[in-house]
Amino acid sequence: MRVRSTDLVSLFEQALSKGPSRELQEIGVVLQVGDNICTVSGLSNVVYGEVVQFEGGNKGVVFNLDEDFVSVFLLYNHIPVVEREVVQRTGTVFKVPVGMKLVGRVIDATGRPLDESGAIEADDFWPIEAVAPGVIERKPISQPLQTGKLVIDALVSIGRGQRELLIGNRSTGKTSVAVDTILNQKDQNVYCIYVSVGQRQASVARLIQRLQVNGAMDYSVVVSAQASDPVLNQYLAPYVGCTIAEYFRSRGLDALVVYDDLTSHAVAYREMSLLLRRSPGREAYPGDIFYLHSRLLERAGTLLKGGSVTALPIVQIQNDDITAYIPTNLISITDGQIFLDTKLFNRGVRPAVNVELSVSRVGGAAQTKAIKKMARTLRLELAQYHELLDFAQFGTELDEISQQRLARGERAIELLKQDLFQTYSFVDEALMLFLLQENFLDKLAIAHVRPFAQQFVSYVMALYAEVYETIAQSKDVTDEQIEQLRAIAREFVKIFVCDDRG
Amino acid sequence: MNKGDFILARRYANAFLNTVDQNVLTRDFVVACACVGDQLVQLREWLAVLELPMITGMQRENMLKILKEESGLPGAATSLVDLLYAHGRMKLLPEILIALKRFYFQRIGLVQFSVQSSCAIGEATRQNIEDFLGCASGKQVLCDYESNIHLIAGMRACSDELFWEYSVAKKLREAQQAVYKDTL
Repeated sequence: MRVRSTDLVSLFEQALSKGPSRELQEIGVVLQVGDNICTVSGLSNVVYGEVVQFEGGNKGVVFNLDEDFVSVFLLYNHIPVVEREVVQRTGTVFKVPVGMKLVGRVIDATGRPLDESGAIEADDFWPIEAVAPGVIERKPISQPLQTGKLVIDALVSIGRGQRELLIGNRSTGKTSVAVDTILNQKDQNVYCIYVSVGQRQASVARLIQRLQVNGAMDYSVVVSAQASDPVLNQYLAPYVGCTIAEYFRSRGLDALVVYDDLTSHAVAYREMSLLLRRSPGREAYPGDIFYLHSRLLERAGTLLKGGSVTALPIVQIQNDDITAYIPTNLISITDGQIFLDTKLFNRGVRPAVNVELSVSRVGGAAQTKAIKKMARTLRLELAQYHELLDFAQFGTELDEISQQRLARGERAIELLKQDLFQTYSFVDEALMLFLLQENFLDKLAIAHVRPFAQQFVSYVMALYAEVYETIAQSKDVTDEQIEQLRAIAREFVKIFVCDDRG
Repeated sequence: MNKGDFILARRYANAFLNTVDQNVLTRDFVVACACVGDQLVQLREWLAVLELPMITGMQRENMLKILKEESGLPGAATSLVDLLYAHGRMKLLPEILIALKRFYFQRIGLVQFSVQSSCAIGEATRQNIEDFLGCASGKQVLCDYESNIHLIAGMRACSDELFWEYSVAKKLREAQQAVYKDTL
């Protein structure tokens, strides 16, 4: 426990300076305590969601109002609460610190810093429950949020203000896709908030280190409610992250919130509801489990007055079953889903995005024109490839066109593969898709597809920088530029040598 | 006491207040009941013995007689003892007797405060305290005074639902919590 000596004096002065109050405080008395939940008698005028202060220093949030007592969930599990302890009302609901100084910090669900970088200097304290923006206040989604993952930006594009669900079995790369998206927001004027719910401390530490190494903490905030934290903290964490994002949006900025993961969040809420003796429903979840997530995710969106909150909720499924209760709830709430398939993952297709089951309901409206143009036929080609693949497995003899489609599909799949922590700018993606569309990859061996594409991008960046910059500025590829790129590609094909050593 | 027993005790107390002869129901009556209840809180095991199957009917009757006649319980409250015994809920008797006082005072708009101070308080100060508490709560107050050296200096007034404290102990607690909050 470290205490700065200069602060100790001011802390004592602050605590001791208050004179006697002229008012009586409303109190209750703890009747029963256990499993992080207290039953308190008294507190007749307390309101739902109010924070109460225990005499021993703990704090709690009121979750049930009964005729004779109230139920309070505790915020801290290291401060003991005893029977007959006096509980006082604070008169305020649960609030979190918000402000620009939160950027670069790691906090827990109560707003306390976890990164040993000093106290949080908050601009304000906002309640975690807020009304979602109305229909009139919103603007249609038109600006892309580049994830840096070619398969997502080309086929399941995400826009600023959208809610796109990341769904898949355990260890299929859901968090990796989310982290890569955060890493790709460098210099994109997007503030990122990563909310970790019920994760292991080691995993969170590794993730924070990755963000720090890549300079992502310069525009990110991490809210962590670990598996060892009280269940109330795991329930609050997503709302805390959303509130911080709303603060950025209120200042006309764009924010991205990743909720990792909402399955743990639902489990935490189920635990709280069962402890409160609320009636269990399907799979023992309480009846308002849908509302738990809908009121969270509806707060994302783009506003007419400026600013946006993009939400990337993550949900873990079992045995590729997307028809389970919580996943289907979230699929119906969000504006699309990215399904990460275990079979694809095991076959080495990473990111393991199942293009057929993934969808973005915003679609092309949130894609840059350059990528939209280059990826026009990609989905169809992949669909044809997968259909023909079934025939090919039966050993059927295929005609030349079908064989060409198969070959094309194989190269498309290979092109869409991407290493972990590797992100592309939209210009890089447009150039790679150009190669596929213009058949420059058809004659290459599968193993040479990605090196060819990556080296082509470097070639254009190095020797034809003005073309690269023009596409970057205009976010479009004109017919004239397409002709130029064809010539550059023909030139590159002659000099390309693949290094097979690696 | 668990939540279920707490609710049950309050219901019995309310029911008793609604049904007892209103001429009998006075401040002294409920204070006497509460006094017996406070004593019985320490003798819970004695009440539990009443419900053990191995004691004889004679022994049971003797114990009930002691409870009704020698504990200081007012006569009108003995029917409550018989009812609880018949329902097999003797363990709730202490809480019910204490709750009787609380509910009766609520009904007549009286709040009882337990006032603790680090040193003895004179009559004039007591009057000031009662005036302050009456003004702040908006109700008639009844105060019990006791000494509590753990306050170090200062005073603390506590009822079932209202609380006021200004003492060195409170300041030290607040300072400790402020440091604790800053360092964790």
